[in-house]
Amino acid sequence: MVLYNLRMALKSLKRNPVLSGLMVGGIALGIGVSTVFVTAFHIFSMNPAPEKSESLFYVKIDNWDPNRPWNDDDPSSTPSQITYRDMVGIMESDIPTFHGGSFKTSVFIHPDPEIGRPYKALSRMCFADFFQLFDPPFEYGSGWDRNSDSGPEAVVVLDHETNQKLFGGENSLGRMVRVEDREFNVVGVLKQWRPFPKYYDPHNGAFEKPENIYMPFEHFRPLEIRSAGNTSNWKDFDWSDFDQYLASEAIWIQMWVQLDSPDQKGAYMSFLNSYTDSQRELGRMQRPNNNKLLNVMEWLDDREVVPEEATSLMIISLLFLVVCALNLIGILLGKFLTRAPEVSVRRALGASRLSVFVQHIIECETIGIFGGFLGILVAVLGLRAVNSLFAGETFEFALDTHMLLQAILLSLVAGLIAGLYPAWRICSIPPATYLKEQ
Amino acid sequence: MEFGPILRTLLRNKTRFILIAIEVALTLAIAVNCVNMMQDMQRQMDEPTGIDEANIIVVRSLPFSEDFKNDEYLDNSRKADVRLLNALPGVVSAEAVNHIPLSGSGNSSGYKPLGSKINTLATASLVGGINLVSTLGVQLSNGRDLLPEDITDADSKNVLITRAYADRLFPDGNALGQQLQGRTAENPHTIVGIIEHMHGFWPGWTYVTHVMIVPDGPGGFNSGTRYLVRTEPEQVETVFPMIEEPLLAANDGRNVRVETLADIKAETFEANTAIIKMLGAVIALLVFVTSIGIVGMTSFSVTERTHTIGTRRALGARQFDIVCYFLAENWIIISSGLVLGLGLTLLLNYLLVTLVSGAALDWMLLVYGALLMWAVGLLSALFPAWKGARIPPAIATRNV
Repeated sequence: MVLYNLRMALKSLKRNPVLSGLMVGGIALGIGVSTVFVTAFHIFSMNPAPEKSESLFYVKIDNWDPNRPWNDDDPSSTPSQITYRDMVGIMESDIPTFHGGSFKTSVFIHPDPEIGRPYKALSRMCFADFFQLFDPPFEYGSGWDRNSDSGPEAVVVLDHETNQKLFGGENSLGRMVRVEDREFNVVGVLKQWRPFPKYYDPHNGAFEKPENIYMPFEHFRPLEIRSAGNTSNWKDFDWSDFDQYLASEAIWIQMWVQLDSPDQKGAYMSFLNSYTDSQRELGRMQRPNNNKLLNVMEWLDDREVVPEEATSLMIISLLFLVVCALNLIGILLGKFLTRAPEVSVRRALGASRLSVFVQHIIECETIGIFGGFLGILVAVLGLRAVNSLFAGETFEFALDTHMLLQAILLSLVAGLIAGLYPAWRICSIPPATYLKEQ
Repeated sequence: MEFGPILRTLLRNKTRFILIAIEVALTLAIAVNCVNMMQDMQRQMDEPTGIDEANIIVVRSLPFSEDFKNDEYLDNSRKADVRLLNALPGVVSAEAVNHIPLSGSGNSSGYKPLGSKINTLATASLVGGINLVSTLGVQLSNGRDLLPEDITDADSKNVLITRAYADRLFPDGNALGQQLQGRTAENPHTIVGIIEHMHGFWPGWTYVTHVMIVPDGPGGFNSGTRYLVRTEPEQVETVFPMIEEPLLAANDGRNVRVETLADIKAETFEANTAIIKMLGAVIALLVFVTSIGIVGMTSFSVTERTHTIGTRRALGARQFDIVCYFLAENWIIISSGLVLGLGLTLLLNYLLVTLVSGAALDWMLLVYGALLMWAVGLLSALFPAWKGARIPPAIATRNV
């Protein structure tokens, strides 16, 4: 019966190809455009670490001005990064499974002169645990061990691109790289890695690429390296004096911990509070305790990483789909009603209302499905156009299977919704009226 | 034209017309709000920045030689670079600066009048040599420009601020000569000049018009040193390729990067440009889909009324009357859609403003939107109506 109805539907579509083209094309545009912008929104609001997003926590400590909160508009706000001295202080704790602060900076890499001039590369200064916390995939080797943190030992992890540039992509474990004025031993090479958003440090653009090289945090001291990311400060000091910089209230470090159970989280929270209490006795942190542990999605929410325009465009594109569906309803209604005489004959010959209804719904779904497939094509082209608009960016919008399924589902739903009313109208016409006219 | 019969016909057959009216309403709501967003973004990009954007080249010196770790060496190298850049043919003025205006990356501080109890007010701090006013091409409206003696080792400086910032700090308009402090009263700055108008580092920031120019030697080993080079009008292309080579020849212990300020600004606004284009495409597709809907609807009402048309024609109606009938019908539907669309537009704008801090509605857009929808409606109805008018009166005699 379904097959028969399908054949009828195809025949009906073929009878008026222009009209059918308009219907399929219209719904395809709706599906295509909305899929483009829903995909963009979906990519922007993705969970970058689904397996660990409940156990990784971003640490916030309120060391701000006693007379003025971090955010003037929100007295309960906590500064978005922490100071060096607080990082050192809270890393005394052995409660977290893994923990460590890190920051972004830029350093000169001096390649073999045959390869090229020295060049600026972005570096993340971090602890051994960084690689456990965020699990970047390794092509060769691994991160360094905790012992190398304290030396600090001259070890470095390169990203895929840097290894291509310096060593032509071969296994470079044990080779030396000159960074600034000293030699570092390559202990690990990452595969392509693009956490999206860059949740471990979204301060300078949540969708920027990760850094090129990773070095033990404490190297920043002999090299006198400062953050190339975001630094905020409320209490004056002499910026040119490195020791004052380290002891200052300036915040520039992103601190993450892994806490695998609620108990562990509770214990760590009370540790943080007792830490700030002890600092208060030393004359710092004159604001009430306002420490925060945010899991990955809470943190991204806090940073408002999803661009507002992505949300607006998604709302608009879904309304666009509604317009396309309304359009389809209008055309279907017209088309079905002109068929009233034919349907009347069928009804007079004994076809039930239900079978007429089913026949027309199947016709609508056929249009929906064709529209859906064409819509996916439109979406692919649309995403290509969107990518070309963002030529300066290094990320790409692409359809994944999830979005493909969603597009097909959307087209079925659109076909059904658009078809319900016209199909109901046509199955409930009184046959006699139309039979008389013949 | 008799509207009575048209209206009564419409009411008898309302579903399809209601559908089209809703479609028109939604189209108006979406299109008007999209154009509103586009306008808002374009406005941000077109806002006068006070800076001679088109004629400025940005040069970055990124040192790797250890020599640059020495403050005196760094200082001398900066002075030599500024001299070299100033001496290039076609250059009006060149100066070192801590961060690049309009680039989206920079430095801000908070100040208040010395001794005041209010919270400090944020401003972009542009730290650089004394020729920044002429290098940026901004206008000084009061006081004096910076002089060589303003470069001192003291932490208190003679500074320039923009009028917008001055007016916020000193609403009485007596900013010139006043002193500004940060959180504490130590090392206050003195305002020696007021800049008429200028944008700081972050386009789109609430306080983008708050700028302070502080005379000092910017740059460091890690951050490198940045220079602005202002050329004679339309000389950017000529000067651009002449920069890298002499700088590297003067000192090879570094990399040199040269860009135009116009490119940097375009990069800052890349997302805006892209979104404007996407919204434009959505509107075009939307109007297209709606016009298809109107064509479809009119075609069906014509087919449905083949007999009636034939009868009317047989009774003496001209082809013109038939076309007018359908156009009038169309006009009524579109207009009722527009009335509904007015409400929907406001609702959608309200949603966008509250959910995602969109821009408040520009009312003129509603007028243009309505005109557009009428035009689209009439044009889409024209062809089917004309086809309807060509139905021969003989039809009326058949099949009845």
